[in-house]
Amino acid sequence: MKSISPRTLRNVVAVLFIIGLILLSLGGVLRPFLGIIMGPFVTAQRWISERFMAVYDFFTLPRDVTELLQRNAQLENEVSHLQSQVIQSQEQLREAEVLYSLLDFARSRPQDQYIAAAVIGKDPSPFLHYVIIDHGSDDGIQYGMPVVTQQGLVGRVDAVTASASRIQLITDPESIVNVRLQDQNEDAQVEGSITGDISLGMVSQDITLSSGDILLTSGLGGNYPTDILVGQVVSVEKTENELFQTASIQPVIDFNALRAVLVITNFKTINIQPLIQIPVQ
Amino acid sequence: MISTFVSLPIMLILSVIQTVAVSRVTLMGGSADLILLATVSWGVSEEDNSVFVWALVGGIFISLISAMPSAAVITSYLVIAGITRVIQIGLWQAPILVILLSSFIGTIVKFIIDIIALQFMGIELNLSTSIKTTLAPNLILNLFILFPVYLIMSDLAKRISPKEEYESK
Repeated sequence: MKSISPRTLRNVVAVLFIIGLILLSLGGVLRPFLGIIMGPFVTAQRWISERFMAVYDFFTLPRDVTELLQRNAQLENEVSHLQSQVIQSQEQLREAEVLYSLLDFARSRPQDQYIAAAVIGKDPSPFLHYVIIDHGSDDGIQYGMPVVTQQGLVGRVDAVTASASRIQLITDPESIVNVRLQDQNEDAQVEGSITGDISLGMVSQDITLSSGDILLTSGLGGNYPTDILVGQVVSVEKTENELFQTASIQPVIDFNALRAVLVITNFKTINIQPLIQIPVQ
Repeated sequence: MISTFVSLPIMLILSVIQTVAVSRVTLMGGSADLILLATVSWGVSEEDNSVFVWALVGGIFISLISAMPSAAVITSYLVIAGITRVIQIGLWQAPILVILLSSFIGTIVKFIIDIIALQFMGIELNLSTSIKTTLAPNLILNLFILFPVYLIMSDLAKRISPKEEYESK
């Protein structure tokens, strides 16, 4: 029988020792010893790793920052583009809402023919109250045509070019609208002013005006069709020794937010000036 | 010569901006006057009589849009141009003071001319109310956009002037 060589024996012992160590470490018996031995190694590894990553970052991070900046700029562009699209959509939605309400109004008065127009400007003079619309004589608009919205009376066409028109608002100091009080069937006049406020005049002292009274166009004078809403009485000013009483009127339209209007094209204004007799002095 | 031709597109653009945007930004009853500020700024930037051409062009464009009588509009801008020239000749070393004084006095003068024109039109107005609701806000709003307009106009004048000097030689 061949004897086992000492070298082989050493190897077998070594292998058994290693297997034993592995089994002991798996069993958790060697954890305290491993902790003592591995501690310095882990500390050293951490120290080296930190230094290495610092150097690595030093060489690689600027490139990443550039990429991030580019990406950021790209995303910001995308966001601003989307924001502008949202604003455009909101604007279109608002315009559509305005046009739908104008259409509803036009349907409620089938006897009239309308041209819808957008308000594109305002008179530069702070004393006068006119707006510019984007339709003119090419579209069939003529001087004197009444202008309304779904809410009520806006004014009348004051000047016309081929592609644009100027509208005199009822708030203009030169504007006079013949109206009637809805509940009392009494005629009166609504006048504009420099400040943009409108007031009711030519109301007899016998009439009892009260806050909230509704005013509609009377059609007298031939400048406006009948029964278009103008506004409502806010406060009454009645002085005993005056011939007429006056009242402040709240117009139904917010003229500062006027965006689109309807021009009534089949209404013929009547010039009554030749019928007014001038007294001979 | 070039400035005369440049005044046409610039004043046209400013008139459109005035009608579309500036007139809609109101403080009480008043609003800024871009044409007035452009005229004053040009008068300060260019030390010649071209300011009258700019005032005339601006006045014509505004009178085409506005319901105010054309004569009143054009006259008011020409008077403002004259005031700017007079102040500039007197205070040529202090352009900021010139532009402040010119726009301030110009706004008041335009207000007075407008009121006279309204009287001719038969429109009654309360002077103290008009001063409170129109003149005072006009002055404040004009002051707000005075310097941006002046910067743009002076830059424009610098771009145009070398060519004119070259042409005159």
